[in-house]
Amino acid sequence: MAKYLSLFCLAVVFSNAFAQSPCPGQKVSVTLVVILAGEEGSTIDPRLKAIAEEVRLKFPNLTSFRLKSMATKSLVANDKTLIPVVDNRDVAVTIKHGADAEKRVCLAVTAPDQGEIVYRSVCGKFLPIVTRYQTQSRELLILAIRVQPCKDE
Amino acid sequence: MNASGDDTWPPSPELLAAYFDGEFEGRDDLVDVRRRLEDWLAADPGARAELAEYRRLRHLWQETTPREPAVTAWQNLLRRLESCPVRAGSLSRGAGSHAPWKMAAVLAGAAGFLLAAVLLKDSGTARDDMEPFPVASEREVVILYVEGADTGTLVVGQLPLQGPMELVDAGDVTLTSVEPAQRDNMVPDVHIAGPGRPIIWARAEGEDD
Amino acid sequence: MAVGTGLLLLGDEQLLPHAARGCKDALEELFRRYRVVAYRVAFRFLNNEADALDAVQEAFIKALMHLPSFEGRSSFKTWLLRVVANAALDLGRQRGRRETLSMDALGRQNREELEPFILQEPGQDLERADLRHKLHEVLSRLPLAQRQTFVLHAEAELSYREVAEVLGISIGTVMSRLYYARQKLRALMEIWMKQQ
Repeated sequence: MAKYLSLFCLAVVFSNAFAQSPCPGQKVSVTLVVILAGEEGSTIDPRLKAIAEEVRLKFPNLTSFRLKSMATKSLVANDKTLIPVVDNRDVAVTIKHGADAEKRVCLAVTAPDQGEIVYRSVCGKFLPIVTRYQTQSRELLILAIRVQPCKDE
Repeated sequence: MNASGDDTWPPSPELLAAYFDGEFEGRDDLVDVRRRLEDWLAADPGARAELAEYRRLRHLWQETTPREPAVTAWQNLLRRLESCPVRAGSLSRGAGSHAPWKMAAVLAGAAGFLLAAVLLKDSGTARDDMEPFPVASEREVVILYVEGADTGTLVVGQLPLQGPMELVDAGDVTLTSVEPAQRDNMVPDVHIAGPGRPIIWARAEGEDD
Repeated sequence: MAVGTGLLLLGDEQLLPHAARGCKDALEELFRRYRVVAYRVAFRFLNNEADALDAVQEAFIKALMHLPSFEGRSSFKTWLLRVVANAALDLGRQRGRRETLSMDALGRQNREELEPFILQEPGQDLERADLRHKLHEVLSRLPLAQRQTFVLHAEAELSYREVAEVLGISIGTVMSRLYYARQKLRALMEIWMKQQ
């Protein structure tokens, strides 16, 4: 009986271990929204209202926020992708692992003029990254990144 | 005017270098400056020595011109480019401001055919072999990339961002590591724990930590 | 690489729409026109054939991706070279300073062992390779902005205006950077030459 109990406990431990670690082949959908914020004009894209409010807490001089582009990529763990943003610059995104037991995805992001940032994030919401990159028209590059577990295709 | 007799006009080193680099060639608006430079060079051994140094550096640079790779290396590279799946011609929608309008026109035409087919069928004049033109539904098309200005012109397809952007809240993000920027070791200000929403701020040059 | 003779006569601005639509011949012609200058610029940053070819490949791929958004405000050449310079610098950062398994690297690290070899066979190729390596080392010690400006001007033979266009700076800044780059290069090469 003790032997079966210990085997059962081992099975529970292993099953928990698998539950903790994300499935290796799980696809993650990464969405990158590219925003340009400037000091001229006063138009804020309604989709960017929340991010504009946050950014303007530090940069009240930025009065216009426009959505430059948005892109979606479907990646698995250790997949790296380059997503174009502005001026032939790219953002590199690598999925470190898909959704774990806490439903968080780990990813690495390298924005223009920045080093790599690795973080774990919940799915479905955007994390803003305010870069120091300015376009020729002196607009500040802001990125917003969201991850979502992909549905099976 | 003789430049060598003009105490206020030794040319700046940058100007001398520009002359050496041929920036005055074919420039009618700089004829006067060029002439003064050449007068100065004729009279000033130091300036001529400077030009000689530029020539030496240029010679050194030319002597070390990288040798071209083998022909096979070029052929392999071209083959890789031609087989690259990310080709301009195959870019997803939003690649240019004209593409969504064309797509909208095609889909409008397709919808028109469909409507015509339905009407003709209803009127009893439709042929038995006429089938509706298939139009993709919103759930069948996923937009992979779109320019912001074109998001309003899409007829079908789910945009990556549909409505107001929802931001992460405090506690939704945990930081694992941050590398400094290669250029100047800038480490961004990673504001994760609160108060307020998580957000990552790059530091401007000269900004204190 | 057979290319229609008609394409050879087309200017870049006429070739680009064809290449953007996926015309293989147009792509081949653009590649033929600019591969060497792109390679030489990348090589000056990376000092390694394989890395330079990777940078050229990455640059052409990026150029293809962005062709539809190329608005022709600059020439294709300057636009491409900007992409090449960025790709080479990014690659250099990713790969770090790599010791190449070449006589140059060995010579730098183990000069005493190598010198007798050089004395016995002072071949022109070895000297040139040694010189190229030293020049690269010296070039690497320039601030990035000066290095980029100098390479684009000296290797790609871009005019001051074209360099300004590529880097998004004023012509005055180009002149200033070139001047300081030359001064530094001369000084460092002189020190090395004296040591020889």
